Amino acid sequence: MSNDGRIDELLDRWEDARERGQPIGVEELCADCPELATEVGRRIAVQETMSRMLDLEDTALSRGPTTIEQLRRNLFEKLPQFEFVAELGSGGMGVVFKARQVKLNRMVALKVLRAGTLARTDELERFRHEAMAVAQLQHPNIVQVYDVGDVDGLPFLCLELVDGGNLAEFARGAQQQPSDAARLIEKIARAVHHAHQRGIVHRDLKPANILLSSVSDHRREMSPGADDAAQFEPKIGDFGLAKYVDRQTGNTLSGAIVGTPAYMAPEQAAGKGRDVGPAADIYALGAVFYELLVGRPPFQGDSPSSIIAQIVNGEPIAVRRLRPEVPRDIETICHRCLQKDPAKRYQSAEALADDLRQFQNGEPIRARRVGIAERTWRWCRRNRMTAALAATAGILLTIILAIFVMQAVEASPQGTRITVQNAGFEHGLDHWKQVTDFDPNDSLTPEQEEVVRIQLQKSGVTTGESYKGKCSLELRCGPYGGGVSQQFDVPVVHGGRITVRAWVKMPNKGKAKNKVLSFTIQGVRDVQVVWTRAVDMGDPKFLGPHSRWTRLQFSAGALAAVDSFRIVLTTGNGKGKGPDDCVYIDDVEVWVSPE
Amino acid sequence: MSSSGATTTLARVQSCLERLKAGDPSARHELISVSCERLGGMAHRILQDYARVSRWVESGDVLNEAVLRLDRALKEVRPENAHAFLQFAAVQMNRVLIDLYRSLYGPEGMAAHHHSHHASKSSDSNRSLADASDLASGPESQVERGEMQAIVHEVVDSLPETERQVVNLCFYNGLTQEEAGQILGVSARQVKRYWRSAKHLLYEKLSTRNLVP
Repeated sequence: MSNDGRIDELLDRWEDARERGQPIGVEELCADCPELATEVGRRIAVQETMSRMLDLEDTALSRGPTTIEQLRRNLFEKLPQFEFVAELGSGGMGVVFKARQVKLNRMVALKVLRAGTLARTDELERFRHEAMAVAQLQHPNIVQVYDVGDVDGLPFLCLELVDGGNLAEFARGAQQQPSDAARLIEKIARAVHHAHQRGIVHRDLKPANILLSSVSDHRREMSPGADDAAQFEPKIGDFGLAKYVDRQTGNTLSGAIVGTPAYMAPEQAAGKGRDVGPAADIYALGAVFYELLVGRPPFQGDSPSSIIAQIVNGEPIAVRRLRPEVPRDIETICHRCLQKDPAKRYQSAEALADDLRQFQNGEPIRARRVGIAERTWRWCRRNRMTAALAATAGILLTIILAIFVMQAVEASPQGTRITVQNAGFEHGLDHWKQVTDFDPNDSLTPEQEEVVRIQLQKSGVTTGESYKGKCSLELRCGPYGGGVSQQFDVPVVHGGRITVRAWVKMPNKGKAKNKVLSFTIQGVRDVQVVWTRAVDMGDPKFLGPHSRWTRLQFSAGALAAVDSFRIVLTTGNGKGKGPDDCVYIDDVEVWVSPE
Repeated sequence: MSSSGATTTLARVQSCLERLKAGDPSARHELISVSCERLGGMAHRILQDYARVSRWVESGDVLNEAVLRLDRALKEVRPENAHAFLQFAAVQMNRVLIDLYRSLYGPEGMAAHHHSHHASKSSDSNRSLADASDLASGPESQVERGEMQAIVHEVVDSLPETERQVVNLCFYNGLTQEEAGQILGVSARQVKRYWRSAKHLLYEKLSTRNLVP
């Protein structure tokens, strides 16, 4: 066997012995092959160095009493000033006992942290130091820390006994009255502010950490109408010590810390430990407030990672969408706490408490609602891809619409638009049949119907008493001289006074002298001219400056009720040379009124 | 190496992968939890050792970051079997730990700032960290030790494949040697030798940089 093979075997023996708890030295190991002792010794040193470097050495994690019974016996033997009363609960962090403090004859809670939770002496010292700082907090809504110490390296806390369970047990996902929730959160916020002013941040506020103590019978008598929530006084537990108390080891660590991120501020969830300050507590207060109002925390998911992702990137559903009867001010206050940016939350827990007080007093609150512009902007930030696509689609749509409009404007023939008022094809058709002696029993061919339709559209429909038709015309001069005309019919059953109004313009003023615009009213069937008026378009009294529209009005007086009338507008002789050689006529109004 | 809980680690990973293939979305998150439990213990111990900085960094923060990192990575990679997943998870854990050490002891590291005289000392690239090998020494050696541990995790990547796989399975994922042997198709004794070999190679890589005596 090669030296390497023998060394491997020796190292196997060395490891096996160590695992059995009976380590052997190099000399004993190499008793049969002393020439390998140096190399084996070197390799063992390497293994030991690397094991230490990789943190493979046993720590104190597994030391200490292993059962609650052992722990209880050990604790109360070493601490005769306490008498065991009952076990209140246990978990990964340790055990909580109800005990009587003999000298003061008061009931207390003794919370003993699990062995190894604070494995190092300096950390235990720091824990003791910070616990003493927390013990200085004197506030009716903070669980009082009476004492801190350790027994054989097991740290313990002597705490005020709070007997009403915690907020999570009390609420159990039920929606609370907004006024009760506001009262509760106001009290907690003032307690949090008290601690913040002394430089202590909780970091882990959640319903389970808010304990409830029963209100005294006397106070209950003072407010007999108060509901269940008013029967309890909230008290925040583990203030400033949550990071010790909730710290667990091994397999339960992630379950404890990552498993309940629902109340964690975004900066905390994103792992920005250095940025976690008082604002994180204000966020957590908002999250607890939210849960009391709607019965669930702001974000839910099927795993811690999905909740964390939502906390970092998502927006909570508005309180009033889940529970519309919640007052708008309460919703505003709650969402102000839940802002992603710590700077946009309340600047202090006291400011939050004050706003809640203002609400309860019926006074205006100071927080303002997030505007629609900011909500839209946040939505865009959260949905960058969708927002970009929507913006691109919007721009494209606008461009396409603009192109269509421009094309439509270009394509629309000026002056040929007829605006029909009192429209109604069937009604107009009946009338047309009357005035044209068309047999009402006959049906029109499609071609005839189309002619009638056009005619009616051009002329409008009479009411029988008065008529106001409107049309726009463009009368171009013929290219080789001579006049052109357009006409529209005014079906009038009864005679009456006809008034014609129109807006005209002659763009090319210089060539207008020889042009005449004629307004003629004649019968439809016998083409008898009953009235005509010609306008010299060169007359400056009719024509304004270049391109300006001029209003003309003529009255034809009383006409016999024998026929419908046709209005014919004709340009006079003139030789057209271009697009400007025309008379534009717009908004021709024909009034037929009873005499 | 951890011997407790390893059976459940492999069994849980296998069970999760089967559920994932069957279309159970919660299996993905449970896979992440499996890795994070082990990582959480490591982070906790690291921060316990460096008590001065753990007032700024909590193991929960480290875990949250790891959860997000694994979550993102698992969206892109679909490990086909337990071995593939455990190797994949080990790489992610390795990176989280390196980041953690760097955040503590890098140029902007909290601990480096906390002990400014050590930070300036560590900026001397020619120095030897031999004196830091006394791992039982007081808090003055913590900065160097943190740097060294970051480097240890970095050089794991350059180990021969079998040794690297053993480190990934046993160290990062906490499997027993028997389970690692089952996955790699070798005996537990052989795994033990690979593990020893890995530590030896890591030591040699550090000694070429004058980081160990």
